[in-house]
Amino acid sequence: MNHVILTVAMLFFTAAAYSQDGKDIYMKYSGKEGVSAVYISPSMFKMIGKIPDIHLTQGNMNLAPIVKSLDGLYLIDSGNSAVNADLLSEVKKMVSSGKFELVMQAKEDGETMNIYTLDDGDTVRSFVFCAVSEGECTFICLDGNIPKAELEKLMASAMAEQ
Amino acid sequence: MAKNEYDIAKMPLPELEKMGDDASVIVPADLKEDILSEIAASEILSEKSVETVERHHRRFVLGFCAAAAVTVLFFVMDDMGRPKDTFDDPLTAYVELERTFQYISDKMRPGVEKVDELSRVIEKSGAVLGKVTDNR
Repeated sequence: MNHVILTVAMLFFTAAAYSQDGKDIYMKYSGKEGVSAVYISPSMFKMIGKIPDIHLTQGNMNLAPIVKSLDGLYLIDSGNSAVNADLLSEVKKMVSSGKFELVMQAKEDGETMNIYTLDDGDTVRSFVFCAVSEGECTFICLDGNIPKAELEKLMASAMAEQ
Repeated sequence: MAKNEYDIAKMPLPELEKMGDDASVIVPADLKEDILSEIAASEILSEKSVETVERHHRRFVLGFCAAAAVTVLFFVMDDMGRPKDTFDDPLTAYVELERTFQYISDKMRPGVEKVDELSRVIEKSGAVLGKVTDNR
């Protein structure tokens, strides 16, 4: 009986040590003052994927190849200084779990931007973007099974737009 | 085992019966009690080992059920904590998704442009160095 209790206790500790993800950060900050939040669920992505020829009706960016591979979009845009420091700290905790890789960092005009990805071979399981400037902090997390090649193509085409 | 015991173990039953009838063979006084207590001890041991195996099986099954219950509870709680969609309309959600990607690429552009510029400089330097080494 003692062994069973010990096993259950160990399982609870494991669950408690479960690392943060985009959803946890979204849930924590989405209701705060001065914070704009956007969440798109897996079901909504499925519905988006069913809209015929959507990339022809909306702008020039073709998101159709990756829409079906997305599980969630979490966006937090904060103009609340008190929230910004806390949010940044949570994002750092999330990406320092050891599984995320810093793929890009840029600093310009007082703004720091970091991009992290969690890869599984040729698939991006999580894409995290964080931009911090004076008085503003933006956190974007895309979860799914995104083919790396498609994501790179999309970013390249988006940059070529302008 | 002593030699006599080994021989007795190999002897056929009729010969053993003949030995039993032979009055000259000395039988230890407490042989019967020894045999009975050995039988009783081995019976107790076999009961205990069955009990131990059953106890281990019970523990394993209980532990597995507890782990399964905790895992299921964890996933149910995780699912219950899902936020609500910001948009009701998939088209609006798509527009927001496109805006998000555009925003990310706008932020990435200065860094990517600098890398492109640097790679052009490196390429030019490589070409100049190539000419210098060719002329030597």
